Amino acid sequence: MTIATPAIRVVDDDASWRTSVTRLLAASGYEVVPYESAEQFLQTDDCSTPGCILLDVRMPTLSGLQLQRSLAAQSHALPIVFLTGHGDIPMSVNAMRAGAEDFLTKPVTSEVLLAAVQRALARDSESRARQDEKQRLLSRLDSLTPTEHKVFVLIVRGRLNKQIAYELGSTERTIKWHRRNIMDKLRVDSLAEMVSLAEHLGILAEHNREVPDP
Amino acid sequence: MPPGVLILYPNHRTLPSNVVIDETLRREVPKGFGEPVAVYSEFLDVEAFANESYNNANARFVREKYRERNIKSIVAIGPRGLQFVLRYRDQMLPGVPVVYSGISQQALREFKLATDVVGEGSNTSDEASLALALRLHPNAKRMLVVTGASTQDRRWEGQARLATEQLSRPVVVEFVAGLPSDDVLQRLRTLRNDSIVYTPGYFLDGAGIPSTPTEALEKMASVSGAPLYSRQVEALGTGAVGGYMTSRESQSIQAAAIVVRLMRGTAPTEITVSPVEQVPMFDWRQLQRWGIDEAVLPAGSVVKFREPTVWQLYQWHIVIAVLLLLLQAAFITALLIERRKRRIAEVESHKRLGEMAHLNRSVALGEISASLAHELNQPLGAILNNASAAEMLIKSGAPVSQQLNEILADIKRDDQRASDVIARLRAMLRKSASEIRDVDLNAAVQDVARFVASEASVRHVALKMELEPSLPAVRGDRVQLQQVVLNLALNGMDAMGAQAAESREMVIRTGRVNGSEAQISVADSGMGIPEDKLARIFEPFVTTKTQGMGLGLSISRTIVEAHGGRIWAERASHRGAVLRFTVPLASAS
Repeated sequence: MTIATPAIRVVDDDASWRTSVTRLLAASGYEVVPYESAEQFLQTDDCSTPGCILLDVRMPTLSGLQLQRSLAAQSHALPIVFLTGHGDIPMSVNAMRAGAEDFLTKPVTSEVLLAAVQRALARDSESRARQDEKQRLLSRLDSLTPTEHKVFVLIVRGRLNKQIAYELGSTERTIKWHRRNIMDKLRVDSLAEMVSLAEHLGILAEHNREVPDP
Repeated sequence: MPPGVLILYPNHRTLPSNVVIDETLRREVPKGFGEPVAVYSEFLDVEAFANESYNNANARFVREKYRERNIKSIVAIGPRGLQFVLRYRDQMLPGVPVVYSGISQQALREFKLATDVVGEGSNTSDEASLALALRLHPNAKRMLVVTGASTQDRRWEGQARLATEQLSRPVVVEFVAGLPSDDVLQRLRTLRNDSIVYTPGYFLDGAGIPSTPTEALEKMASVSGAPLYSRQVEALGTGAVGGYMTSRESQSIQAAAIVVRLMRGTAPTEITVSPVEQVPMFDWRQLQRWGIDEAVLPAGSVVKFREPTVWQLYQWHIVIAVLLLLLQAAFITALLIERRKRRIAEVESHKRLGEMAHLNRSVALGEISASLAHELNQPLGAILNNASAAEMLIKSGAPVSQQLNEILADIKRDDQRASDVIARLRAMLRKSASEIRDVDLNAAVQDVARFVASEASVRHVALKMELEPSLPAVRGDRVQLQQVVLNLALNGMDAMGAQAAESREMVIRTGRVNGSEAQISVADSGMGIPEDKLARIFEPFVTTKTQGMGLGLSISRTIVEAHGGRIWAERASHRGAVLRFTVPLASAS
């Protein structure tokens, strides 16, 4: 896993502001990518790079809130910190509801700005880490054979070995043997961990359905 | 020379009956003949002036006058007229045929007429009139017949007596014959409407006083307590109700017809004439007096002296008067409507002006408040970022002078940007150029009060003015000073928003403080201002309202101080706040 350096995207049509905040963030040691409009951002940016977005609400053509909406549709949405020259309660509530990290008014002190940026970056890396973790678990799950998969599903549903054996037309001994292999492949040491993993991956939610054929 | 017709009257021109006869003959003869005819009239007055030599003179006069006039016929009017003509015709115009008119059949019997004397005799019987009178007054029990003392009168008396012998129903008939006029009138005065009076009039009364039938009828009708009937057409108009009469007009029309036939060449002997019949004729006024309904009158009745109703008489006057009244009413209504419209418009306009003044202020401020915030916050934000960045760069210890230069340049540029925004704001607030002159403060304050009055009434604020009379003029910009007063007043009213409607009172006072200053104060009965805020309210962006930027008092302070005055706030003694400001007097500078 390569950890790319987080980049803070600054989207603001006011050149003076954009330059100054870029300067400030750079002086604080961050990587900054400035954009002068939301369109430019959508066209140019590589959203897979970690980081966050500093976004002015009021911009000509595509506004900050509109951008937020279109970004929310993507799975790896970068956290957004909104900035505005005129604070407006309804606007800020809407933005926060839509998942913004923060809503700041200009002029903003460096402390407040940097704190918000920190939180946004933290959240981004946290969500990325969760994402990676999930990916790892999924790939482990994929390494199970179809039979092992069936057994795993029944185990996390609370079935006893002999019940599983009966359902699958096998013996308890074989089931125990499968169980050991599963735990190895999934790298878990207990039933509790298995269940936790299953829950994490959303398998338990499918309990109404038949055991899926791989 | 056209043919001529000569009418000879035995009396004078102005007798009403002669007027009718003359008019009718002059109209009917040419009409009947179709071709030009000359009609001549002579009024011989031989009735009043009866002597031989006068008669001869008249005859000669006629002869001389009309000898060359191609007279085709002579018309003799009345028995006296016929008498004169018959006697003197050969001296006047021999051989000219004579037509007589206006003579009763009875009178005709006394004349011996040659064959070339033709005419109509009118029916002068009393029977029809008597019967009519009895019919129209079914409750009458007594009939008085009044006649005179002359020979003619006696003849008429005899005729009347005969007529009364054949009355349609039994009544008491009383003859008042040949009595002096006074007695007659006395008798008539005593009558009531259970009696009827019938008379042809008389020429001579019992006292030997001569009269004419018309005069006699007039006197009798004026005193009679009973309705009066007669066969004489002259009776109509004197006060008699009516009777069966022959009109002069119908007699003359008959006579004219005879004249025309003679002129056409018919021989006198071939002309037969039927007598002119009596016609029932009435005086409308008397019908009203005696309550006789027109519907019971015989068919073919002629009703004279009909009084036109007020409507008929003054029809056009009434129509015009009504039209004028209507026009006037319409005009007044229109004026009243206009006045009401004007009042409403005035109130509206005051309201609008007041609103506009207020609105201008707040729209100007409100409009820019969003963009103002934005436009100021951008450069301010950039400056803060740059300054923070510079701080960090310097702390890092690395050589950053190049970057710092850039930073400082940017800061300066943004500062300028911000101050441009402020300048624009100020320009927007100060709409018109400042005009410094002598200002009548009371008048200016009253103007504002007018604006504010409608707002005050809407908000149930009692507005009082206490202006010092003969306040000397102050030096300054009238509009700006008004802006301050308006501002203070509207603020004060806003402050009273929470009070009960009855307790909202605002007092605006002007007065002279000392030799050099005038002071204006605006007091409200609102919540008042806390002690610690009294000075702060004049700072910009200080407001207790949810909307508005709190610039009003700050702007007011700017204006007042620009005028060289002071503005401050106090707590009112009872309740509320008083805002005062001073302005230097014109004379002081």
